[in-house]
Amino acid sequence: MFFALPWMLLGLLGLPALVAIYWLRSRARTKTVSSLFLWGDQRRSQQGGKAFQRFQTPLLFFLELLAIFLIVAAAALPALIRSATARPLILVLDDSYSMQAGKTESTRDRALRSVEEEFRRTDYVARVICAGSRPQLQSGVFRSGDSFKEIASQWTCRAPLSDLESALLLAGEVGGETARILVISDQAPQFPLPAHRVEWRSFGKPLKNVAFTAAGRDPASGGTDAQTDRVLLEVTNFGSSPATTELTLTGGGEMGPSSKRIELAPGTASRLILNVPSGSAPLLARLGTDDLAIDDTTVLVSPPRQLLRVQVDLPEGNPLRRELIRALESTGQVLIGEGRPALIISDQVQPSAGTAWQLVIHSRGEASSFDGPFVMDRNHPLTAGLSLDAVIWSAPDEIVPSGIPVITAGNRVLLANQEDSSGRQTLELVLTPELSNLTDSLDWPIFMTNLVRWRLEDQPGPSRSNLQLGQPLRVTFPLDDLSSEPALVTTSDGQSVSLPVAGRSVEWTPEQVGLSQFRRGSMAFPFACNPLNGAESDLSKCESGTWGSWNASDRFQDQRMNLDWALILAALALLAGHMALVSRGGGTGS
Amino acid sequence: MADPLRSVLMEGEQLGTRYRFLPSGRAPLGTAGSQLARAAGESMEFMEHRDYQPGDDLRRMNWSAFARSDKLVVKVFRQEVTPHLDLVLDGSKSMALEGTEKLRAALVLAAALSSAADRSGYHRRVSITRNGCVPVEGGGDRPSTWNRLDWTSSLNPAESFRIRPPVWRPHGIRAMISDYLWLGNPLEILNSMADRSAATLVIQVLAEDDVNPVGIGNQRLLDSETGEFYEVFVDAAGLERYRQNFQRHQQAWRAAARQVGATFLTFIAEDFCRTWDFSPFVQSGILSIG
Repeated sequence: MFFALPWMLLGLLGLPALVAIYWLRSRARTKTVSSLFLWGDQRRSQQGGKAFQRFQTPLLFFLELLAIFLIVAAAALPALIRSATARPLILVLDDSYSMQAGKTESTRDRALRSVEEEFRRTDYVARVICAGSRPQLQSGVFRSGDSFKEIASQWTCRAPLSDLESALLLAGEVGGETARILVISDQAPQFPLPAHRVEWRSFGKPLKNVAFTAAGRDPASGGTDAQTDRVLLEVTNFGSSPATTELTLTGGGEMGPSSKRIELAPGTASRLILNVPSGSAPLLARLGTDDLAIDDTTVLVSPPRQLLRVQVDLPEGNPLRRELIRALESTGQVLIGEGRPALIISDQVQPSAGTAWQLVIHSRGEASSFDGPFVMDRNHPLTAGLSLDAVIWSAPDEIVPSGIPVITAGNRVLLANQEDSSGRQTLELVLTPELSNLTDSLDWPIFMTNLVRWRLEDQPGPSRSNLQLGQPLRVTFPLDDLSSEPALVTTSDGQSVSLPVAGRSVEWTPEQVGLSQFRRGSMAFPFACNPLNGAESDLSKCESGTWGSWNASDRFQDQRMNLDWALILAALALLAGHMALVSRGGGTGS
Repeated sequence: MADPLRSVLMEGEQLGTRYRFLPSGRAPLGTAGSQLARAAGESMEFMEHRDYQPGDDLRRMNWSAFARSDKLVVKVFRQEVTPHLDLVLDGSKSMALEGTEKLRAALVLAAALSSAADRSGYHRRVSITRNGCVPVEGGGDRPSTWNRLDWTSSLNPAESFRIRPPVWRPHGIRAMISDYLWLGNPLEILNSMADRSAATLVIQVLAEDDVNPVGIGNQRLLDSETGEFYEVFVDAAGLERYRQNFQRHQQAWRAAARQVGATFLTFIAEDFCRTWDFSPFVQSGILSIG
C-alpha cells in the first residue's frame, strides 16, 4: 500500500491534539460541595495514582481517535498496487564516485537497501540506467524478487560525474509513457523534474572531505637535457571547518617516503609543486583518511619525454621566422632543425615531406587586412583557446589556401587544413606579417602550442600518461604498424581489458582509478588515472530527501486500487455511532 | 467575630426593621403577655359570648344573660400572650461554603427575623448547632452584637440535636436556618421543632451551585464538612442525576414539613443577596410589612 498524497498524513498531528484535549479534560478539578451524598451515583474515577494513570478514555474518545485517523488516511489517498500487474520502472542510478562517501555505510549502500525495500514492497519490472559521464542502459530486466547482486555489480559508482539529466531523458525514451522513473542520487535535483512521473530519492549526507583536486606530472621545460619532472598537487578542504591532513609521498625515484602536515581553512586549497627525477617510479600521494577514500590517493607516472622535431624553412630575413621560432621554443616541446622533422614550416608546399606535417605560410603579394569578425572551426584542435580579439590579420589577396577552412574572415579563408590518405596533415596559412599584428597578440603562442600538441598527439605513444577519471586514453601506433593485434590494459585492480585496434590508434576511457599498464607488441607503458573532480569531492551539498512523486498521477491509475472511499465510509459510520452515543448521553464508559 | 460578618448582621438587622411578625393563630392560652392573641384568654379585653361548655370556668358565667334568656352563657376574653421566637442557626461548615453567598444570606435572614421579632415584642433565643445546640452569645440582644458565631462544625444539625437538642419554649415560634443537605429522616428534626410550637419555620438557604451545579469532566468532590472526597467523572447525564437526587431530597423535606404543619421556605443565597426579597415570609403569613 502507498499514499498518493503522503503530506496529508500531517493531519495525524490531530491525534495527539485530541489526546491532549481529553487529558486536560480528564484532569480532576477539586470542587468543594455542601454534601457528597447527592453525588453518590456518579461514575467513580480511579482513585489515586498519577495524573496520566487517571487519564479517562471513554468510548467516544476512541471513536473520535479512529475517525480522525480514517479521515486523514483517506485524505492521503491510500491505494493498493494491483498484484496482478507488474509496474514498469526505470531505475536511474547516480554512478558518480561521491556515492562511495561514508566510512561504515556508504551512500550507495543506503540507496541500494532502499531500492531493495522498494522492490520487496511493490512488484516491478525494471531496467537500470547507470548515470555516469554518459548514461548507460544496463542489459537485462530486473523483477521484484530477483537478486540484487546483479544490480549491485553493475552499479560501481566510479564515474567522475553523473549526467542525471541526460539519464532521465534516456529513461523517458526507454520507458515510454507508462514507466515510472526512480532516480537514486546523493543530491537534490538541480533541474525541474517531469511532473508525476519521476521520483527522485537522495540518500546523501553533508560530510567533510579533504581531497586531491588537481595533480599533474610533466617534464620540466628545458629541452632533452632536463632530467626532472615537475609535479603539481592541489589539496582542497571542502568542509565548513578548518582541517588538518597528512600528505604522504612515496615513490618518485630517489625521493624517499616523506610526509607533510597540511592545514587548510574551510573551502581553501593548498598547492604543492616539487621536482622528481624524470623516468622514475610512479609517485604515490596519499591524504589522511576521511569519509571519501577514492579522492585521497593520487598516482602520477613519469610521462615519456616527447619532443617534436621542427624544421623552419623560411629565409633568414623573413620577419615571420623569428616569431615562429620564438613561439615554438616557448612550448618547451620542440627541437628545431635536428633532422627527420615531424613538422615542416615553409612558404611553399613540399611534396617530398615524407611523414612530416607541413605548415605552409603564404605571405607574398598584394594584401588585404581584416579586423574580424573571424569565423573559427571550434572543433579543430588548432582553434582551442583562440579568441583573435583585436587582431588585424592581413593576407595576400591572390592566394586561397586549399583544404577545409579552419579560420576565415567572412568568406576569405585564412587557414585551411588538408589530410592525405596516410593521415598526414597539411596546413595552409595566408598571412602578411608586416601588415598584421597576429604575431604580437596572445593568440600567436596559443596557436603554435595547439599545433605542437596536435602533432605530438599523433606521434606514436599515449596522448597523456596521467589521466583524469573520465578522460580517454588515446594511444597512437607507428605509421608502419599495420598489425591488428589487440591492445591489452591491465588495470590497478588486476583485471585485463582487451582493446581491439583498427587503424593507427586506439582510444579507451578507464573506469578504474590507480596505476594501469598498457601493452601492445613492443609498445608498453604505464599510465595513471585519478579522480580529481572537485565537484564530486565536495560532499557539503549532499542531502537526503525525496522529490517528485508518481503516485498522484492519473497516468498510473489503472495500476492501483484506491482505498480512500472505504476509509471515508468507515469514518462516516464511526461518526454516526458517535452521534448516536452523544444523543443518548452515553459513551462515557471506559 | 469578624467585622465582615458583623456588618452582614447589621445589614440584616436593618432589613428586619421593615417587618413585624404576625400573631400566630395557634398561639395557645397562657399567662398574661404583651400581645393579644387570636385565641380566647385571660385578659381583661372582652371578646365574645358563647354557650357554656362543661369545664368552663364558672367565674366567667354571665349570670345576667342567664337571667334574661335562661341560657348558660360564658364571657370569653381575649388572651394576652408574650410571644417567643426560637431561632436555630446551622453552624456546620457547609453553610460557609466557599465561593457561595450561603453564609451571608443565612446571617441576614437570622438578623432580619430577630429584628422583626424585636419589633413585634417577641422574646427570642438564638442558638447555633455545633457539638450540640448552644446559645449564641448575646443572642438575646441586637443581632449586630452577637458574638462567637462560627461555622466550623463537622456535624450536621441532626447530629447536633442528638447530642444536645435546643431548648424550645412551648408555644413559641421556632425557626431553623440551614441548607438541610444531609442524609437522614427529616422528621427527626421537624418533630422536635413542631412539638408544642406556635409556628415552625423551616428556612432552607442554598447556594446556586447546590441547586444547579455546573462543570463537567473529572472532578474531585470534597465534602465541606467531613473532608471526604469522591473522584468522579461528571458529564451532562451525571449532572442531571444530581439534580434529580436534589429534587427528591428537597421534596422529602417539604413533605415532612407539611406533615408537621411547618412552613418550608427555600432561598437561593445568590439571588437573595441580590434582591433581599422577604416576600416568601409575607406570603406565608409569617411577617407583615410595617
